[in-house]
Amino acid sequence: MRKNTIWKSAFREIRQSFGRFVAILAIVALGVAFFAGLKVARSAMVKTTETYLEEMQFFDYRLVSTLGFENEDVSFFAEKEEVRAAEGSVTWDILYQLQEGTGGVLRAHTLTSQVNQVKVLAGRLPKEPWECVVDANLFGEDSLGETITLSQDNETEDLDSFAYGEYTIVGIVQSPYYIQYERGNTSLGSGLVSGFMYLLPEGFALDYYTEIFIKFDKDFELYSDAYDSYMDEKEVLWEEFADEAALRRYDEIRAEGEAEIADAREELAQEKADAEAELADAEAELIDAETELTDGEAELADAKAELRDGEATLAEKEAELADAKKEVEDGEAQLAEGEAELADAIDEWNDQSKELNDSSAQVEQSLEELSQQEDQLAGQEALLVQGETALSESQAALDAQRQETENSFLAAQTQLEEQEAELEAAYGAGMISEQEYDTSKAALEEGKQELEAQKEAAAKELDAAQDTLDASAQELAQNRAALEEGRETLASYRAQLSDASAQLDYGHRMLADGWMEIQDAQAQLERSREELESAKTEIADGEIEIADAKQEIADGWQEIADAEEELLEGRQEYEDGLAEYQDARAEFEQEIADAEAEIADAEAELNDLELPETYVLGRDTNVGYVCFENDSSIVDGIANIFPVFFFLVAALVCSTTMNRMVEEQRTQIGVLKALGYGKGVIMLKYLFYSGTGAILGSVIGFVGGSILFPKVIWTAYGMMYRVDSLIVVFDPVLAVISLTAAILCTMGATWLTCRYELSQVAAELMRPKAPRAGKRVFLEYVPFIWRRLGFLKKVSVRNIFRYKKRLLMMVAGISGCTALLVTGFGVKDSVANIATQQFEEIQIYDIGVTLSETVTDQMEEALTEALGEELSGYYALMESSMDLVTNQGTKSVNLVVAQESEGEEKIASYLNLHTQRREPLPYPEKG
Amino acid sequence: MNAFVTFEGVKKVYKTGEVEITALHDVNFQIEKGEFCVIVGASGAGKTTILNILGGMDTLTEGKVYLDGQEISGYSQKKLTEYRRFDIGFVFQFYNLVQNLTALENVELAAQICRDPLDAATVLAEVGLKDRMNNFPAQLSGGEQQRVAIARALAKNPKLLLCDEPTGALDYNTGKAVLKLLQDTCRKKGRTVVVITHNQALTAMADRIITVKSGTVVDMVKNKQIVDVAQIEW
Repeated sequence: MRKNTIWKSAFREIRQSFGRFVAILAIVALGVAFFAGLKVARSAMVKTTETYLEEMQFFDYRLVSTLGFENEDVSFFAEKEEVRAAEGSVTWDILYQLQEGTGGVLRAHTLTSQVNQVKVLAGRLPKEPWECVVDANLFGEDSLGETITLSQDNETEDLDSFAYGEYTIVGIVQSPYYIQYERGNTSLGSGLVSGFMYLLPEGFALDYYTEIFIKFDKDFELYSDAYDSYMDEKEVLWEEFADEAALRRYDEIRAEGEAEIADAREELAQEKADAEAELADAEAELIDAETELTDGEAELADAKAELRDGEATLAEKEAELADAKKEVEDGEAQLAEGEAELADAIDEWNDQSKELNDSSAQVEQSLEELSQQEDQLAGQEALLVQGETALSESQAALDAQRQETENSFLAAQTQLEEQEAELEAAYGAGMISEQEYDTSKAALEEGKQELEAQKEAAAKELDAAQDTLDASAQELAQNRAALEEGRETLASYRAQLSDASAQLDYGHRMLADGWMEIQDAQAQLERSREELESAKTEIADGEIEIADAKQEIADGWQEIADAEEELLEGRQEYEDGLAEYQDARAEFEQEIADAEAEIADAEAELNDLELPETYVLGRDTNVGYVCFENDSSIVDGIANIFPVFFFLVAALVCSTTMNRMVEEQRTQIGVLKALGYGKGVIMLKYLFYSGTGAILGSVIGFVGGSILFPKVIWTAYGMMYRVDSLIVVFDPVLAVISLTAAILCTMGATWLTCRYELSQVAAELMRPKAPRAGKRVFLEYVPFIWRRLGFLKKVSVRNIFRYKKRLLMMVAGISGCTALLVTGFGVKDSVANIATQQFEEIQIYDIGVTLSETVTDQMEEALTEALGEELSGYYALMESSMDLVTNQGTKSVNLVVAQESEGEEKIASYLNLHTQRREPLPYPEKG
Repeated sequence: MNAFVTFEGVKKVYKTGEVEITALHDVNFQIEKGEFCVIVGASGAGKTTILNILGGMDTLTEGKVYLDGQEISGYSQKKLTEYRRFDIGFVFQFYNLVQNLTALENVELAAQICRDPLDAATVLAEVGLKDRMNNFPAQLSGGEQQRVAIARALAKNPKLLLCDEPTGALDYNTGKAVLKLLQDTCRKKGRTVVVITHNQALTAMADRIITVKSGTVVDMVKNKQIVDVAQIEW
């Protein structure tokens, strides 16, 4: 290329002042990033939500009727033009409890398949009617499988709307109906819905739908005007449709009602006829009863007469019996006497007998004794003989012994003598010593003496023994003598006894005769006795008969008494029966009257049945949808200001940088000019420098900003919203705008400065730039101050106003940055203050208690009990969530009604209403 | 008119804010083609101003300037740029080389836009910088830089070579060498060379001597005894 050296210079310029180049690139990138990023944030947010809502088929219309809808209505709407889907749904709030006691209010919806689809985050969709999927905001994955129990604190009506009392969680979902974290208000529990739950249609026990969702067949950009106008067009028509459907249902309900009333009437007529028949039967019964009673009374009179006759007969019979008794008594007396006599005779006989027996016994006994004694005697004799024998033996023995003893002694003595002789011999022979001899002799002498002693002793003994024997012999002789005496005695005794026996026998014979006589007498008495006994038996029978008769009569009277009682009872019953019948009749009349009145009321109610009201609600009634629109436009709002600032800063920085660069290169420009380079080429060299930086910076900034800033903002909003992950949007319009702006700023600045420089002649350029001459500053005209300033200060003052552009930029830059800082802090403080203001200046009360039933009297007590001394006062309010319908749409509001009596004074200490300027607002009066 | 360069009644006034400085007034002179002209004068006399006007790098307030029959002073900006490009080769007192280009590139820079340039490398060799072609000006000595500047001017193959105090910052010998170069190009190539100097001694080598004092030409003399630079001592 012909002119490539100048390009070489241009490239080298970039390389050699790379820092400056990067600075330009960076500041442009930042500015563009902020601008494009913030500006596209809203688009990205909206696009993401739009895609999500479209995927989930977020509804266009929610039709609500005060009478509800049925399947026919759903088909009716589904057939309307441009309708992609129409689905019926039930929404019902319910108090729930989870296993560990956590509870709250759940809003249960029908799981619709074509409109408002849900996205499963964990688990699965329900397959059985007792399964449910729940809000991902409220439950985590660890809740899968747990059971939600519908609390018993719910109203019956609410519990009856559900097919089951418990539902098993099978999935955690997010719903397009609830993209924001707020779940809505309810009249149950604490007033806030904790979360939502989706059930299969069979999970509800209602036979109608509370609402119908409509989705049209056209998809529009979210929040676009095109959508709004599309929906506006449909509004009137659809309101008519809704009314039509509601009216049809109204007619249906009405028809049903009338049919029911007709049935009721029929029933009434039927029942009336039945009841009358029953009453007639009852009357007949009563008449029969009366007849019975009268008959009974007659019978009773007859029975009484009979009994009286019977009593008379009985009296006669009793007299007869008394006479008989007397007779018997006399007979008995006689008999008694006879018996007494006999008894005495017997006694006597017995005594005698006894005597005799005793005597016999005695004799017997004596005989026995005698025998015994004889025996004894015999025995004694035997003994005696024995003894004599023994004695003789003993004597013989003794004699023997004596002999023996003598023999032994003799022997001994002989021995001793022999020994002595020996000894003497020995001694004499000298075989032993003298000593020995003495000793032995002594011993022998001893022995002799001993022997003598022994002999004496033995003799004594034997003598003693002989004495003994002698004594014994004497004794024996005595005994024999005695024995002979005894014998004699016994013999005489025996003779006595035999006499006695003979006497006794005589006595026995006499007794036996006496006994015969007694027996005869006894027999006679027996006969008499028998006669008397039979007489007695007869009398006894007679008495028994009389007693029976009496008993009969008594029973008869008793019976009569019972019968009378019965009759009385019977009459009483009859009276009661009559009364009952009359009451029954009265009741019957009354009930019939009531039933007819009820039917009349039902008819009246049916007549009162109001025409249903319908509401055709669009997306702008969905909290999440509206909030998101607001929040995203807030983001857009921010994007209008902040990026502009950044861009301005970027522009300022770029222009300053390029300005400085061009001025630095002043001489070079001069040289190039001098060399004959055209202005264009020279300009181009510098434009290339700034242009490259600007374009590269723009591209990087655009891409980076479009990805980063929306993500940051999305993450910040992520706390409040639950939608899919962010879609990155690259807006070509923004790209073009930011690129253009970046280029304008950088290259524009370059161009301007270059142009200025290049307008000068080469020679001028090659000379150093003469600094701008200082002008007189305004302050100089105030000599009072000016004189007091030192030189340096004067120079400084002058310099401030010397370089106006610098001054301007400095002021602008600093004020801009300060403004940004202040805005940031200001926003922070304002937001932070909201809570303080709300709860310290407006809602001054400390605790709000929601009551499940209205209790007024015990309230003070209960509060004092719960809070004790800390309670300083309380104020009763009624609060309720309602929908406020205005021209601008429907808003959900909280209506607060205060007690009237206390007046303004009191409520101001709980709710201090005032305007932003702290002017107190009086609590509204009636109306 | 028939002279190569003609200055007629040229007046130059500088205005910066409220300050007016008359640099030149009533400047009249001519230079013939192929002449070696030296403009002398004390510092601040207006010599550089004249050269600048002649080189098309500055405008005049009054008067006319002619080069080779063309009225320079009447040129538009565009024409002046062309004029500078094709007809003028300027050597500055303080070299004014492009710092981020090598010596060769500096010369090429100037040569590339000309109609009939000389080969940059050859010219550099001619000025004795054969071995220094790829050095940046920062790596060259003063003399070398000045020679590059001269080479740059020469490579353009201009009608008129203007040198503003070329030896101002050089030592005696280097200065002499540079002047020799200039003289040679004037003699051998027949190029018109105008040199500004405040050194009287250099007037000896000139064909024409123009003396400037207090913003006007006080004297214009043709030199009778032209001396070779080598023999001038100062």
